[in-house]
Amino acid sequence: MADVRIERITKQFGQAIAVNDLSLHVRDHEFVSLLGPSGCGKTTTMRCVAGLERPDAGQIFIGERDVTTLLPRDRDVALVFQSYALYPHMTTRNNIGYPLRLRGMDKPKRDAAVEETAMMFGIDELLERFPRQLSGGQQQRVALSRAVVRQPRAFLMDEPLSNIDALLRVTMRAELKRLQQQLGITTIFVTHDQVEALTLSDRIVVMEFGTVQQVGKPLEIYRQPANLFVARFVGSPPMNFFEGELRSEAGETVFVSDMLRVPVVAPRHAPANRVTLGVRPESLTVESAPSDGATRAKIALLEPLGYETIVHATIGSDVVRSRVADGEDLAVDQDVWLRIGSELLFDTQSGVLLS
Amino acid sequence: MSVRSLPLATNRPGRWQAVQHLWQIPEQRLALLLLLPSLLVVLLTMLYPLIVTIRMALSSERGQFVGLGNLTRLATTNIFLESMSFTLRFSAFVVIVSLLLGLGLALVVNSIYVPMKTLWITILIIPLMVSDIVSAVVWRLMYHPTIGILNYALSLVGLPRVDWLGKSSTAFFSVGIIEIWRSAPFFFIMLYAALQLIPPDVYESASVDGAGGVRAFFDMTLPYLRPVMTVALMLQFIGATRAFGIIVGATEGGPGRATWTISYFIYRYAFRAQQMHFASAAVLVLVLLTIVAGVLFFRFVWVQRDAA
Amino acid sequence: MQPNASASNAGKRALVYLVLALALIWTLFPIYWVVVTSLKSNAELAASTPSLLPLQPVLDGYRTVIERGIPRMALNSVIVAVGTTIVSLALAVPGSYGLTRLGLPRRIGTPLALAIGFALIFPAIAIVVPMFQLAVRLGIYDQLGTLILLNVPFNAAFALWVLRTVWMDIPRNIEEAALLDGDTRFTAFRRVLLPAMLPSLIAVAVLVFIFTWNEFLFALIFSTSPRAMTLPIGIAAQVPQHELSWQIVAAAGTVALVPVVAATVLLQRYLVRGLTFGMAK
Ligand SMILES: Nc1ncnc2c1ncn2[C@@H]1O[C@H](COP(=O)(O)OP(=O)(O)OP(=O)(O)O)[C@@H](O)[C@H]1O
Ligand SMILES: [Mg+2]
Repeated sequence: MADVRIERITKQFGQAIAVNDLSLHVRDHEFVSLLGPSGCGKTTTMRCVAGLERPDAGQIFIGERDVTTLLPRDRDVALVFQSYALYPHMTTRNNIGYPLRLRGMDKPKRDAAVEETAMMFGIDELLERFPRQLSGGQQQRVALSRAVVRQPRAFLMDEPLSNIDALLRVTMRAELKRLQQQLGITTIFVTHDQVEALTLSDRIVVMEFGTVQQVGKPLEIYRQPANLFVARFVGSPPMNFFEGELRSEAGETVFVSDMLRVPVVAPRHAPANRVTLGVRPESLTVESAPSDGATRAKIALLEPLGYETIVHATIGSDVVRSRVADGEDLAVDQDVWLRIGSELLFDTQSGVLLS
Repeated sequence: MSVRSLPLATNRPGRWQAVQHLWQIPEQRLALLLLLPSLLVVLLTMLYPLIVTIRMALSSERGQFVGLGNLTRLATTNIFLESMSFTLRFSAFVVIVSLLLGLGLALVVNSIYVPMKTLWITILIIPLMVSDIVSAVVWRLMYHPTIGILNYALSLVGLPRVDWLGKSSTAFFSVGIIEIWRSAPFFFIMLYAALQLIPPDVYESASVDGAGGVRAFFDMTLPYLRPVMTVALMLQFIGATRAFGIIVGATEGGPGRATWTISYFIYRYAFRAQQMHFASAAVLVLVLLTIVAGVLFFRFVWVQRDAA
Repeated sequence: MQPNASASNAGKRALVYLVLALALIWTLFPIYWVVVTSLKSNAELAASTPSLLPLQPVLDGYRTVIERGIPRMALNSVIVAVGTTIVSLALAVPGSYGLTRLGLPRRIGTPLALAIGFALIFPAIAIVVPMFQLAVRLGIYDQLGTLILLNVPFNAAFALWVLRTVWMDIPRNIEEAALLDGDTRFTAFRRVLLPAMLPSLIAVAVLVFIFTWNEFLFALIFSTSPRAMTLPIGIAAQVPQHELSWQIVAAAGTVALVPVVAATVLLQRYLVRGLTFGMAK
């Protein structure tokens, strides 16, 4: 096992910059997720670490070793592809055993290792089947087994759960977490699914346009997004934003927009220009009677999810979303009053978090 | 022992080491290196003869330069023009009938009423594997005036015997049928494969929209088949214009010169009449036509996956 | 086509079976007729009405065919076909890999692919005269090796063209997985990619074998003596001019048909895959 250090790598495809001067340090035993919109360079970053792409600039270290110019095979990392990439002409047994075979391990030992791993993933019944005879979820476990069996220094997983159905995904997610804790292998995990990232990771890396926007613990990312991009990207339903300015009124700092007047905690660095107020849906409480400091709104849409209800309400022309635990007495077109619990302030122009 | 402490098998010296080293060179250079032998073989086989042919076509049989003499002579040689005309009519006849037969068979075998489809496919593609010369022989036995089965069948229903391959009026169709026998299975298998690629929900949504049977065929099936159909048509048309073995085997160009194809013309002049230079002029014409066909083919027909 | 049950189902079913019956006759009867004729005697062939079964099957045709050296020609055909298959694949397998897998830029790869594709439609008759003169000059006329040399380019081009689409269908990830598992580019090619594409390789090999087994033009022009004559030439030579001894050519034809029909029956799946350029799996 080893840490993975990515130092200022850049990768271009023709004119397109897939990864732009990206640095990241994944510590030993750590589980780090890469999160970001499609095309932001997650896969490319992984492939650079794996050695399937050669970065145009920058260096990559695995443990103490500079692997930037090493062939994939000499890096001792395992990559689980979104498409699984099982060898179609080999049985499950031979698929999992292949990396061991390449290391010259003799057949009895190999079989023992393969069977042990297969047992761990609950696919020991499927060892003599070919990939085409396996379901998506089973193929995925074979791919994971093949990665695990050789005890690599680092695991790279590119959306390994995206091809399986929602129910199995939840199971596999739990299994992955258990596995990683058990084996303690340094893991870089790519996902589109925020819940996956938030639940699995020790730390999350949010990327955009080939650069890192924020690195942090899941709750940090959620509660203290470094900038507007991260704030907008993480969380579902997304954070509500209001544009306005800060005023000092009677020794208090107040956020003022067309529709809102909200007293806020004064940021350390007072901005020179306009600010954006961000409020998570769960920090926006819905009240059915007016009270001091609450803003009047009209319910436009209700999405009851069973355990909670998403309330879409209009303030003037803005739509805001709120999450309420108990929405049974609400009705569309009803007038309600919204109260802001906790909020974040961003510099509108630079997007940087102020609070 | 931990797996990691084991050396990679491929790092150890072995039989393949020399090749291994070769394969470490930069990708694109390796690509060209691997392609080079095939390219050389294929291109030299086309280019060397082409250059020789051009030189020969521009000189007389005794080697004097005659410029376009051979070509102008070709343009006024009736049998060449007739061979051209026969080749084109023959090829058109063959591919059109083969397409219709192949399409019909593909639809029939694809229908839900047919059990054991694999067996049917196996049987129906057999003629595709039979050589031109053997097909010719096979059908000569069918066509034979006395020992052939066709005339016997005619006599059973009281019709007069026909000299299938011996009369110019029937030779065209008779030879055409031999070629159709070999070529229809190609359309069948291509179109059958293409039918398998049509997503079933296309039909389901069509039937929901109220398009059934014939309507669904023209609105749904045909558009899906068209690209494959075009490719198959082009390939088989080009193939049919090369008909040679079938002519040698079935008619030797006869009766008279009624079934000369371009290939047969070139063969007769080059190797029977020993006029290789004159024959080269015909080769040149054939190559030019092939280039035109090739450009059309790769420009407009073979777009499918290379565009992706 | 339409799974809807309707009153006309019985009618449709009858029509389908009628068409299939006709197709069966159309496809197989000519072949049946050669086999039957090959077993007839001269006397029977002279009868005024041909019989659907040989009344007294005799092997005269086959005996004559053996006397006239057809087995040797069949052996020659095998040698030429096997040789051509091996050489063509040895060229086309690495060639198609290089063409599709090693990041050749499109502006180089596409023209090369088209050049290969053009060879597929290049007329064989167009190379015959210059190659004939060359072969005579080099003293390699009338040799089996020469026939192989002539057959290779066209079949290598065919194999390259088909295998190119096969490579494009094999996910790149599989190769990358092998690289990460510890393969080099070469061992990944040898141990993972080649086995993964084996069915397609078999398909191409069988087709090249059959094409060469059937090849007539080169064989006609480039061989004159029994040591280089192949089966198709032998068959063509058995066609009687005026006599009725058609059982001889029928027997020779049967000899040529047997491996082809056997291959079709045994390897149908592979043949279909190769013939449809990988469209059918
Ligand atoms: N081989 C390639 N050639 C050209 N451009 C590429 C190549 N691979 C990636 N790109 C480009 O680089 C950018 C980053 O791609 P990458 O695959 O890393 O994104 P991603 O974050 O993994 O996206 P997704 O979430 O959709 O998988 C994209 O704009 C993509 O189009
Ligand atoms: Mg990706």
